[in-house]
Amino acid sequence: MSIWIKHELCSGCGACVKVCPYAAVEIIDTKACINERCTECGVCLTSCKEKAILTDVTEKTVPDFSDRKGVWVFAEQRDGILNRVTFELLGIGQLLAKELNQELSAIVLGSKIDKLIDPLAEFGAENIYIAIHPSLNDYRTIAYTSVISKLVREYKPNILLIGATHTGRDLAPRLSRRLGVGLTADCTELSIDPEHGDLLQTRPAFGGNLMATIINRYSRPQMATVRPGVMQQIKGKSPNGPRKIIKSVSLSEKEIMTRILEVVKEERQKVNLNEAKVIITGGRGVGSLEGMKKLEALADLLGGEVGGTRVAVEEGWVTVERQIGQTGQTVRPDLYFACGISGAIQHRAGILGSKYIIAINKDPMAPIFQVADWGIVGDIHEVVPLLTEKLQQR
Amino acid sequence: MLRSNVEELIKKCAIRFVDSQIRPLARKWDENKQYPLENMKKFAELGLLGLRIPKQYGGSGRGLFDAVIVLEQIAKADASTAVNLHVQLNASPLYIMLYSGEEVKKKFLPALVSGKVLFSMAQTEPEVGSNLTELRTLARSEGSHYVVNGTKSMITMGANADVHLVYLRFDDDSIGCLLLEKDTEGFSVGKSEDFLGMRGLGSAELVFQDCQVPEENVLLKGPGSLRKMLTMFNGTRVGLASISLGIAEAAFEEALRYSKLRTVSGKPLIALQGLQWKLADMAVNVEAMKHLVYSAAQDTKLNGFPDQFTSSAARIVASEGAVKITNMAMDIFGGYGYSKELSIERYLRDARGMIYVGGTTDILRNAIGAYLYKKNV
Amino acid sequence: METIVMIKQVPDTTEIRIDPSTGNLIREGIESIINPDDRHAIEAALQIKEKLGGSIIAICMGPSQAIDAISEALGFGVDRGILLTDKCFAGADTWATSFTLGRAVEKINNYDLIICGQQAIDGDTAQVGPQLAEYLHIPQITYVKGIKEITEKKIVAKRLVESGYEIIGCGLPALLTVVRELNKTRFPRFDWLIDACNKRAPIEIWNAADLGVKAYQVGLQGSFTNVISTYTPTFKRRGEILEGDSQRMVEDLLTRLEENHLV
Repeated sequence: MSIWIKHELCSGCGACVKVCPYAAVEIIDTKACINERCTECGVCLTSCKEKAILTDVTEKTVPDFSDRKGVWVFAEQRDGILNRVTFELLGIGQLLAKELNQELSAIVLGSKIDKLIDPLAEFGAENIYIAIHPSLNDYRTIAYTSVISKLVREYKPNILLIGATHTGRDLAPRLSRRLGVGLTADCTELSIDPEHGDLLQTRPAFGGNLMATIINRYSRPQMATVRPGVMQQIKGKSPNGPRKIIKSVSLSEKEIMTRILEVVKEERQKVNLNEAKVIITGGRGVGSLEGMKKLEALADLLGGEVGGTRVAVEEGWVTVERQIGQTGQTVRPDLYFACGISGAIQHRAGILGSKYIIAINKDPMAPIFQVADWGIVGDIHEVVPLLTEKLQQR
Repeated sequence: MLRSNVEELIKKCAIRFVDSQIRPLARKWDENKQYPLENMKKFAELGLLGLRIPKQYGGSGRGLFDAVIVLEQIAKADASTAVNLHVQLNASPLYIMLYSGEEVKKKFLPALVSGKVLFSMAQTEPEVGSNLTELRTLARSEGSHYVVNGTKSMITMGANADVHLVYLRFDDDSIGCLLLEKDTEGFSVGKSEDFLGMRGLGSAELVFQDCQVPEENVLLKGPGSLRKMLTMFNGTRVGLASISLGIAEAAFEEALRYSKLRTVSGKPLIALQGLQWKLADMAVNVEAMKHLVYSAAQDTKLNGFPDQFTSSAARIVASEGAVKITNMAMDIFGGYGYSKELSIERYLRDARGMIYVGGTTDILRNAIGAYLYKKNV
Repeated sequence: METIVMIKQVPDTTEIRIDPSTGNLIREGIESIINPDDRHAIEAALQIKEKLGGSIIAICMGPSQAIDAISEALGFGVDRGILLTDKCFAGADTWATSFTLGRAVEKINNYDLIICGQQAIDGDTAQVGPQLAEYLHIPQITYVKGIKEITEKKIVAKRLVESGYEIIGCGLPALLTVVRELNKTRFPRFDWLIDACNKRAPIEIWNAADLGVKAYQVGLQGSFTNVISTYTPTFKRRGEILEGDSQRMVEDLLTRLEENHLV
């Protein structure tokens, strides 16, 4: 692709020099000449009265991808245990594969992976691509990128799904750049465009204020990371058992470039309430520090944070940086539990951005119920532990 | 050459700083009648104390308008902090910049920029109020130094400043001013004020008993001094006006937000026409205040200072407007607004205080009246 | 130590509200800010400079008003700013963005470390950092929550993972993407902000020609992915009061939470 000037036609009028945003056209010896600053943006084309500026720039076209087949899922494992999101990816993968009438495959990398084959097959993987090497024991960016990119180049899948975990969000972009393909992050919905068979990837943007559907027309595989906890797991054993494809691996420490010096297990540090996905807030109805403990147990189970109303803070049941409401923090979690909170306007104003609000209060007339998605009229000291218990059983 | 707009950029960054470092603590300072010294340290770290100080002394060399933009944003969270900063930006150090010798400039201006020295401006006296021509604090010449005697009252930052700019009468009966350092023998800080609002001012009484002040610390003395001081007031008045403006804006914005959240019979308050009109009046008032304050701040016809009429008009409209707006905001909040849990009552108390800080607005009417009396029609 | 910080100017999404009557985003009056994670990237660079010396360059790709992000970076103490702005950069996906940033880094040539925020609050993709590292063929450490050791030659960092953290070491040059836990950010200095607005300020503006790229390689044209539709999710309150005894109500609630993928 390029832009050039037919000097026989050029009158040297300089119109193209004026319109070029990059100073990429100069008049040399009464003729316009394009220099190395040209970006081929094409602005000059219409400026030429003599039609002396020519181009072979064509509209971007969609390449033929008919040889690309199969839905692939990256099976994320740590210490020989598959991450839950792997089964969720296989779940949605089954639906997509069925729609496309293509096969569903999993890729699993590690040093010992024998125990992982059966579960992958049980949740729908028809083919399992396997790479075994001591250097693949723990996830490392370049090692995994290198192995997976070779597999993809060799077997040419149509779709490649990766969990939007810390591992997945480290791996997927690196891999996409190496493969030279587009990537959509953190999808919450995936479907197949009935017309062209492209993968429709829907994801939240602007802090969840907007949902965008994205399509990857120009490159294959269509890569997406998928938010954990969103897709359904579906059991679906293939009748013939999984086909195992074992890939030999050669890797050197030098090319991997990073070393894991230590792995430290740690409870998640307390996070900013602004970022918490789940918040359990207690009000006057909590009654005591012990009451607050019941809320904390539920928060721990849901991976959330506890908050308090002004009253709860003043009573010392929660610390001041956890105060929620107009005078405390404004929060917008996915899930907000208001426990024993009447719902004064100052408090309600601070939680309106929450996606779902659940209110638990003894008083059926409490204003908090007006802003709740689901309300339970009851004693939090009974309802909250029951909820925790039943959640644990599931 | 593409560059950011200075005023917009410092406004934006001031808002972020204020939201995170000042607003959350304002209520505590108010409750404890606490002078927030930590703010001054932060202002120094942010290079803010040198905003108007020339570059050769480590400052940024900017004008009154930039100071007004910053003060307005700070005042939206805490008016006392804004007044304390205002004294450093628009008052005492400007006298040093304009009227002191090079040695004194080198001694005090870089020290202010780095936050090592903070100033007060001591004008008001117990007997004569803020009336310059009647000042009773006296400086007597004794060879190479002056001896100062007298009392000043309700001096902002009086309890915390390192250097006091003292307005006084010299023994030649001229009115002028000098710099008095806090460790001067015979100087003491008297009772601190327990005000209704503006409780973070660190406002206190200053007592001078035979305080010796070196000659070079005298900034203005003799004929023409009074006129120079009055010109300086034209600038400080606009700084104070911007603080009232900030209080009014904060009250209006909170009232507006509340009127959309609070519902009666299923409708937000703002759906009620009566309250719509009230909010419209508030919006119009705030807009008028803002234009007057900004245009005064950008007026530099008196050697870089605005004139007396413009600056007085800005101060009267802003300070009295803020009382009106904060009252209306409280009406919109109803009983909640009267509660100490929200900020509206503090805004109202502070707005009321800003009528008196730096001289009452009624005094300004005297000056405007005199000006009109003399003016050719 | 020569450090490059990648920053993005984003709308302050915590301020974004939905118009209740139309369901549209209200963008009016929304401030543009330096992406929060990128502030931590700047802070990390400043702390490294305070320890090892050297200089910091901030790069921002965006429309001309993104100059404010560069100015603010200089207010923090960044030495030099480069704004990548061109009509043809608009509409870039992460692929085209990482390419454009990569070309800018190649033009700078001399660097030891690149620091990016983990993700931007408008797109939340967290992709540009690793894609840039791959473009430059340098190692990456993502989700950095602590820097244990840094010298002119190598870095040892704590990388946040779901179950704790990993301590990862690599040689320089390298690319880090950092999370908020890494540090506490400072505020920009007003005197430096004012200096940054001066026409002599060390800020450069680069367009496609300055980077030596072609228009079809960048922006929307150079992107593989396209947004084909958007919609605003509605969070209408259901206002449903559950009935029955406690057991029943809790069961019903759990069913509803599961139906909406909330647990």
